Amino acid sequence: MINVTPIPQTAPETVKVLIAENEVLVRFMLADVLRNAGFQVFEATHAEEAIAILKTMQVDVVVADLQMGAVKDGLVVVNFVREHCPGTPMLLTYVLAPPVDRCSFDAFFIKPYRPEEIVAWIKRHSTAIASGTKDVLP
Amino acid sequence: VNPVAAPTTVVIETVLVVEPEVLIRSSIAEYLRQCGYRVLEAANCDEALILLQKQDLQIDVLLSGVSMPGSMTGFDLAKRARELRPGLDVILAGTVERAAEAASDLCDENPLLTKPYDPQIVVDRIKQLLAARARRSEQD
Repeated sequence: MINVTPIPQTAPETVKVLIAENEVLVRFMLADVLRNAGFQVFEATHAEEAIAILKTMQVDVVVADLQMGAVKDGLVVVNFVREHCPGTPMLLTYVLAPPVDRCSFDAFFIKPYRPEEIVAWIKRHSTAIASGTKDVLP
Repeated sequence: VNPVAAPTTVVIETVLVVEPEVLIRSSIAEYLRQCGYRVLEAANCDEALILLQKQDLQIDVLLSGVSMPGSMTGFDLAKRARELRPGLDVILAGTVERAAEAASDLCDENPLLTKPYDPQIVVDRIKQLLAARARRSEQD
């Protein structure tokens, strides 16, 4: 049996970001920049891990790579977020231009992107994110 | 004359957490961050080695489970990590049964943390290892 210590909760105003990215260096660099910007960051290495985190806690923003491994399992994360976490901004990353319906994500970043672009997007939409009114996102 | 305080350099130690179970990894990583450490996360030995091979990345302590998915165990990872980064402090966590397999020279003291572990025990162990390292540096 393994004890799972509850994930410590920070101040409510801290924006919680979940990253789902299978490339460890990409994930590390994005997570590092986001943490330095003041966000609380959770890391998942594939869709299943991302969903496990989403089932245990509420996050404010999800950043997922569209293709983690052989299949586009980023879409699994997108579908889970749309069904179970409505209103949560969904940011997708991929090596090519978006091959999926525009309505399935709120922003798209083509790899290689600069992590600061994602920080800037979250900060730009922080008011809407804090109020949970994603519908006002441009 | 008002004395001007000398600028102080805050040293933040970095811990690499290697743990395949995402909820365990997240919870221990967050706990360590709230204790003031910088934490890198790896889900398996392959990810850990990629980070360990990046020599410009500061890593002070490796915290890994013993039983890992794939061909490498936590013991294998610890040996490889010490080859890549001599002097790296290593904390392994595993079941009591695996303690017998611990190589006596692998870790500085108390070679194996027994799972399930209290996160505060990990912090205490990290503090002990880093304090011992600081003492060694002073002696040198």
